[in-house]
This record gives sequence, C-alpha cells and structure tokens, in this order.
Amino acid sequence: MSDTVAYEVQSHAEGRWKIQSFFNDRELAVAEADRMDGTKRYGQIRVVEERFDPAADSYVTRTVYRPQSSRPKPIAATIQAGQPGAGRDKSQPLTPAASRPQPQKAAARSAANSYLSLSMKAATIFVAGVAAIYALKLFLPGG
Amino acid sequence: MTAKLNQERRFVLHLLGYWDDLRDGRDFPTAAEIDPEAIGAKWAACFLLRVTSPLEACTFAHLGAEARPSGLAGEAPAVRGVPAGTLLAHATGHLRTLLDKRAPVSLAGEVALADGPVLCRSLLLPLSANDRDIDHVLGAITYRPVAADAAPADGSGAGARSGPEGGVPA
Repeated sequence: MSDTVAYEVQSHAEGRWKIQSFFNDRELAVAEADRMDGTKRYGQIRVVEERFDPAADSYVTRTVYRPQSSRPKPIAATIQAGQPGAGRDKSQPLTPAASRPQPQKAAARSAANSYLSLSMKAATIFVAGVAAIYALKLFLPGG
Repeated sequence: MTAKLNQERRFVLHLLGYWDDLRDGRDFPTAAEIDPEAIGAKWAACFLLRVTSPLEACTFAHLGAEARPSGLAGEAPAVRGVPAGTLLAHATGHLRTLLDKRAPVSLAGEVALADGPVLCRSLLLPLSANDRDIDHVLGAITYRPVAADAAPADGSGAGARSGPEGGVPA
C-alpha cells in the first residue's frame, strides 16, 4: 500500500460528483463501486485515482473505473424511436446509406409515374372515342 | 489474491453495505440506528466513537473485545489514551481524513505487533443525528499477516492469531 495513491468512489447527482468512500486499495474501491451500482440507488458511479506527483508537488487525478451501467452507451444503442431506422426489422442488416432511397428522388419518381398513368388513360379514351365515331358512320343508315 | 485478502474485503464491503442501507438516501445514518445484532459476530471487531473536539478527546461508546488492545483493561480511554503502535491506534489515526472527506474511509497500513508485522485495514463510517454534523464514528478493524499471500488459506498461518493487539484476523 502506498500513501501516495488513493481511490475515491464518487457518485454523480444534481450536476456534481460527490465522494462516497475513500480507499487506498484499488480492488476494494472497484468492489465498492460495483456494490453501489448493484443497489440502483445511485446514478453514475466512478472510481477516481489520486496519485501524488513529486515532480509537480501535487496530486494527479484520473478516472480508473466505471461500473457497467455508468459506462457510455454504444452509438447503435442510442438510436431512439422516430429516428431513421427505428421500427425496422432488427434481424435485417442496416442498408448502406448510398443504396437507400432518397426522399426527394422518390417523390420525383412518384410524380412521373402519375403523369404517365394519366397520359395512358387519356390516349385510351381518345382511341375509344374515335373508334365509336367510325363505327357509327359505318353502321348507321345513310352514313 | 488470497482467501484472507478476500475475507478482509468482504468484511469491509459488508459493513459498508449495512451503513449504506441504514442511511437510506440521507448523507449519514444516526448512531442510534446502529444495531449490534445486525452486525453480528463482527461487532466484537468494531468500536463506536463519540466525536468531540479536539479529536484526541473523542471517547468510546463501544470498544469490541477484538478491537481492544491487549493490556487495556477497564473503561475504554479517550483516543489520546490508545497505546501507540496498536491496531486501534492505526484505525483512530484516520479520523481527520474521515472528517475531511465526510465519507467512509478504509485505509490499510502496516502495523508492527509483538509477534510480527501485520497489514491492518480499518474502516471508519460517519454517523450524524442531524445529517450534517458528524457526531459519532463507527469503526472496524481487520488484519492479516504481511506475508499472508504466502500463508495457507486454512487459518493455520499467522492469520490465526487471537488478536493480541486488537482486531479480527481476516
């Protein structure tokens, strides 16, 4: 055990870190952090090492441990409902962005499809009308 | 890591958990809430201090048989009367740190007893009647031989000593 190294177990609440216990045994500090984490009474928990630096004549502090629930979440886990990708079939791989349909292109393609459909319907009506007039002239007496 | 080291850590964690349960959201539990029966057999390795100023004038409300230094008979003295070089002196030597940190303090250090050096670990837990001023301290002492890593884990080594200077063998 060295007098130049100590470990503080700290918890985060109301915007600040608070000392919860003080040790000079790292393993014990880590075990206490895990015990606290298991109680679910605390928010984030961390173990901070205080090491005396003789050259600087001061203590240097650094976080040396965070219990599992106090560690930063992976990016994939932060996708929230309502964001792109939410609600998709999780068993399917994510589609690469370049091959995904873009909203503006999809809208333009939808509009083009509508114009083509209308033109086809108009042409069909026009051909049917011409055929009807021709038939009337052909079959009516005196036509 | 030896079995003795694990026992020492379990002892500290057990008391920390008990203290944490008692405070139930407060900064500190009160001295009146400490229940010797809940602590069990380890109560003999504990002491309860009434905090006064100066710290050397603090008196013992409880001094367990295993925490009591040998040769210290009768009524427990004030902190200033604790013989130097004992496990109890080591433990009470960290009172200032506890008051500065306002949090449990568990520090280990080597203490030279008559039959060899031991690694003493003390635990000091702050108590308060008004959740602001620390008026009592619950302490506990555990120890193991310095060479415990090489000793057998069945208690047949030096760790099986009966605690001649106070403390519970880890």
